[in-house]
Amino acid sequence: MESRIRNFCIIAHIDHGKSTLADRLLEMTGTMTQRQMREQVLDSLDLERERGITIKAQAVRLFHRGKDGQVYQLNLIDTPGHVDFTYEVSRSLAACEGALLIVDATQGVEAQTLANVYLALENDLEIIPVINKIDLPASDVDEARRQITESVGLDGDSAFTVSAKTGFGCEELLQGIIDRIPPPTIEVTTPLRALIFDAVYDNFRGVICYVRVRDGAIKKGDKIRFMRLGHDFEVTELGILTPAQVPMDELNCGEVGYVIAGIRTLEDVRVGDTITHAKRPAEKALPGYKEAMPVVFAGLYPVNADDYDGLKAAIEKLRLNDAAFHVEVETSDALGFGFRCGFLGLLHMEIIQERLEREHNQNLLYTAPSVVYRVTMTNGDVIKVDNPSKLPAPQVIDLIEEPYVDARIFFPKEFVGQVLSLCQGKKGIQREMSFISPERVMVHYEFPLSEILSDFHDKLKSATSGYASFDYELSDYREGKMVKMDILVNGEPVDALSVIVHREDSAYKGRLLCKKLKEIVPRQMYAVAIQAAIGGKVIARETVSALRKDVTAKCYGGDISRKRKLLEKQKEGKKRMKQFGKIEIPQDAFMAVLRLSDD
Amino acid sequence: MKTIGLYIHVPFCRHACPYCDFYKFELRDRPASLRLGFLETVAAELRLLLARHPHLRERKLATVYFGGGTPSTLHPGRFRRFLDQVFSEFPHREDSLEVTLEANPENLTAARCRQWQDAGVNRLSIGVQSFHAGDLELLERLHAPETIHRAVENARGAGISNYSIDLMFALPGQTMEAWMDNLRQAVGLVPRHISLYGLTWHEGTPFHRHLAGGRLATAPEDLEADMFLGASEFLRDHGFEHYEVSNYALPESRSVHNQRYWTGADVLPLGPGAHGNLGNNRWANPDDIDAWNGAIGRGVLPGAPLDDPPADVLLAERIYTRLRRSDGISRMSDPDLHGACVRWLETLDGEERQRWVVADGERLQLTPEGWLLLDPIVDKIMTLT
Repeated sequence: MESRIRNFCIIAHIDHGKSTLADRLLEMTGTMTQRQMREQVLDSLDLERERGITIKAQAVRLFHRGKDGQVYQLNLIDTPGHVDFTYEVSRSLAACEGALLIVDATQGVEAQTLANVYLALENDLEIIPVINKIDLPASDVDEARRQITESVGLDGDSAFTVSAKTGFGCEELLQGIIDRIPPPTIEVTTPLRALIFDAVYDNFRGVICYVRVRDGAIKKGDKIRFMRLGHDFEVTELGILTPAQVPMDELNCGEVGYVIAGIRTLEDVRVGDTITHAKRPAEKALPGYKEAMPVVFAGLYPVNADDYDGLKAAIEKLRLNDAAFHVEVETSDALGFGFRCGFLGLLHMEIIQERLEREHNQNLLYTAPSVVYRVTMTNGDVIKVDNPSKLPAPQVIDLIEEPYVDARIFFPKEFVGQVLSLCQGKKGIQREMSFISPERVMVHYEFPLSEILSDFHDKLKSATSGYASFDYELSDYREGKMVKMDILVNGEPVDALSVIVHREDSAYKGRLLCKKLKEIVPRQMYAVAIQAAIGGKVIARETVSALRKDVTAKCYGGDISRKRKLLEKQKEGKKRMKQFGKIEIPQDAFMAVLRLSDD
Repeated sequence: MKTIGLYIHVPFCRHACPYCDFYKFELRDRPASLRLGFLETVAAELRLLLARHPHLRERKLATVYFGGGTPSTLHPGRFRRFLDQVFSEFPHREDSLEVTLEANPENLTAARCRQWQDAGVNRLSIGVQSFHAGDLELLERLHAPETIHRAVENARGAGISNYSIDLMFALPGQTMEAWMDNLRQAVGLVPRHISLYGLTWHEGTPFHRHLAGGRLATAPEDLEADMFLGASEFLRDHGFEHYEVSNYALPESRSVHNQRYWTGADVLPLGPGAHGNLGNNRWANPDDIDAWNGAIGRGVLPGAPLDDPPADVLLAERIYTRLRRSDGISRMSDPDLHGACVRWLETLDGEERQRWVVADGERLQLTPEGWLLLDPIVDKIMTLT
């Protein structure tokens, strides 16, 4: 029976049809009937549906009768497609033996296709190329095969051709999964080792672990041990995911499923940890994961100081299944007690912020994201600075290094001019430019990470009418002439508004930032002076003049009803305003530095 | 004995003004029967209300206010019967019972003024808006400057000496000089009461669309503020008390009815689109004369209660309405409101305090400059509660 298990995932560039293919496989194997299907069943977070992307990995078990007449158990582990979620992808990959690599027949190979292939190869997976969307008139299967061979380095001729939308070719693909993906190595006699590749918190049942059993088997009632901390629990429920949770009596070697063991303390569970038996423990834990390196940091603060504990609890719950989300306590003179949080990228940051607000009902203020600078002090010490306001005084700094990234951008050739000038404007260093097809260009650039953090992605999209794809990875640290720019509001520095900028840009960015803040800070009862300063020297200034008149003229019967509704609304609006002495600064102000474009 | 006021919303207009966002419609758009039977239906609504709240009959009737819309489009002959019905429901009435009619100058003929006076109307609120033909044209008012003078003479001739004049400022293109001239002409008509309203660009009105389309422009904020302060100074020099943000009165001549709104006194709403309150419970009739007519025809009260707001919103509402008045907030009678205001006061420096507030330990009032910033001031106070 064990030899009839196949664990696989699907990797693809965003929009190449990964979720659609997953849906089709579920439907064709009878895991879900048409009636049960909703579009893209595996994307279960609200946010995922709204944004049309997969954020969290998911798992589901399919059964399929192969040509040999045997029924095979196919465990599909869904993976996110966005560049920010590479870490999630690697978690899923570690639970598989094979991967379907989808290439859109109308688009060809894209930036994330490559990134995902590299990850899969690192994890030693069997990769099956799948050319999707062959039903579309614009599809070019031969070109896709050529690109798979030449740009990706896989055998393009062996690629399956499918239409995930119509189901064409999916039957053959299912057989291909059985034939080409190796079954898991079965070690029934060795002590239990199960890899936790995801976990969620359920208010009623506690922590639910998603596991892949590598060695041995796990049964209901077993005493299990989480190897990282050595804490023991009893399995109260386990089962498979279809994708709904279906309780079973045991999970065998090679299988994927969920385990519940009455765990209430979030600290006990870490994704990447290994579960073993308390009575017959394994000697060594599974390799787990490379620690995810957050590259973007921002301050997260409750709008009302009273909500600090609530925010803390919400953050802990989110961290449970998002180990890439780093958190440390932080205080700001301007914003009070909060958290310094590390993210994989801007999208990851936005998703976390939205999940905290929506799923956990928190009112947040957050500061502009910053990269991590490496600062060598004059005494030789090297420190990392992820919060601009914590940058030491210039006289004790020997040098500052900033992170650089290797970026690859794929786009149609007619946008070469726009893309190159955008890259140059972001301090990009061109390393390579090549044609991956007669129509498409790939450029390889190095950028300071800080430059692509702000509006790079948006600008790239608008410069190429949405036809560019973009992926990057951290490469190294390089010295930069950086300075801290402080923002003063009515003469008082607001630490949460400080930014680190390249010295050569400081005058220009200071002016732009003051101008932007003037647009964002609403007129109020007092004039608001906004200044940008470097080392105490003011380099730019704008004034928001005081409001002179803001009073409702009429206040009789209906006007009072209206005012009452307005007061209630205002109370909501206030949630996003932070009080600095007499001045109110809206949330947008903290993000202004991200939108310092000329237009 | 507790008192009660009545507000009757009359939604008919000969011509709808392009800046107005009250519930109203033009007479030509609806059958005349609606207007003919209107006050009868209002009387039926009052009886339904009193059947629901019988204890209100024991209240002392203090004010009756016909607002709109344009109440003066209703024939004066029907008012007598209506007011008699009202009086029969309320055996107790203030000696100083105030019965106000909002009226447009073109409706104030000598004969009609006598009929209204005879029916019991003892106060007129005259919608003058401006003495300048250009402004009146822009505002699409139906009267000419000379009509105003005749209207006032007719009112006085009929024995209604208690009349108020409404003016608007911060009109597109209006200069400071033109505004001050309006004030001089208004004072020349010897009103006991004057209301001055800065033009408000309500969403959904034709004016708002013109603003969005760039066909009209708002007055500069500084000019509007100067007009407000200039008017306050001018009228106070002429013996008027600036007793509420938008209202001025000679001694003993404040609007009794409108003061009920600012002190939270009970007002029963009658007519489609009317709002009122009993204590903190506010309710509103539908903005729909057919729905209103239909409900009363079926013997059902047409009003719907407003949502129950949280305590801090109620507090803010009370502060907001009290601070609109020159009487301000008294520590003795409203210690909670006074306390909230004092917390705000403590955040001000000496200069700001002098500019915006008059306060001794007992009473706290806003200056005209403070009134100009009333909305953000209340927001501030709210953040401190």
